Amino acid sequence: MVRVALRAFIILAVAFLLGLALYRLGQAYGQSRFLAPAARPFGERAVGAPARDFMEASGFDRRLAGAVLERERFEGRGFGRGPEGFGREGRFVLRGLFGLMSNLLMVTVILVAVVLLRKGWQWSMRSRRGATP
Amino acid sequence: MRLGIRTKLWLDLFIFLAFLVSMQPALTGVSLHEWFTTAIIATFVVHILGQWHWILAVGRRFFHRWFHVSRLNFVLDLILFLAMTTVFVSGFVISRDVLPFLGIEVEPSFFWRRIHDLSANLTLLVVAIHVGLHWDWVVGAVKRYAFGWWPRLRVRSKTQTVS
Repeated sequence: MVRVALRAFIILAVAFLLGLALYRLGQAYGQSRFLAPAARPFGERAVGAPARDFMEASGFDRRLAGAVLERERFEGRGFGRGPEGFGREGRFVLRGLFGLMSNLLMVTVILVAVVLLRKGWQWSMRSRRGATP
Repeated sequence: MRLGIRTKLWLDLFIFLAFLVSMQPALTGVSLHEWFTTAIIATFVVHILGQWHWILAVGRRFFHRWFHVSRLNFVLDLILFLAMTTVFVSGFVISRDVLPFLGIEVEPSFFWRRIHDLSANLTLLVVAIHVGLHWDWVVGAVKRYAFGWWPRLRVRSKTQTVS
């Protein structure tokens, strides 16, 4: 049991170190960093802000707000949650189901291709071996 | 940690389906997506622990024989591990529920969101190849453990007809 726990710890430690390296790399290129709990970036406040406010904001604020607005669209709520936004019901679930099906289809296509390639490789190896005296 | 074939089969099937569902946050909602994928990390660790001896064995003999399917599997698994780690790290960085729940606020960023999407798509691709390379094992295990009752049922119905 101790051995298994140690192995699990090794796996998590390796993943953590890799993750940390990736995060540091991102940080080195000026990407996001963890903030203090009290800090409230403009982006968080921009959720639901009228489009006019967003357009008049400075470039830096717009970039921050853009990330949040993109999340809003990503969740299917749309800009400002108003009547012009996407409806949260219906299209939301349908979009998810459609994405799930398309991913499943993609996995199936790749799976079939890999299995066929492998079978072909095995068949060619066997026939090559059979051809030699 | 030695897992039985039946346990491995159900665990792998669960991971595969859970991964496909968690690839669609639009379906589950972002909050459930975050908590669900955080919980899935444990199943990945168990999956890797189940292959521990194979990883050590192939890792030790990696440079002895280059052209072998186990080397391809090893490299692919390594890519999968890297891609998965990237998905989890970038997922935590753009987290809206898990990290704020722990009292850590995160600055919104397109960069990590793109990295998250890219690494998730790469993971999906590698998972498909990974399953394809282990297809014989999957078919054998499914035949034996998921549909093991089928031949027995056929034999029983045949003997009943004969008698």
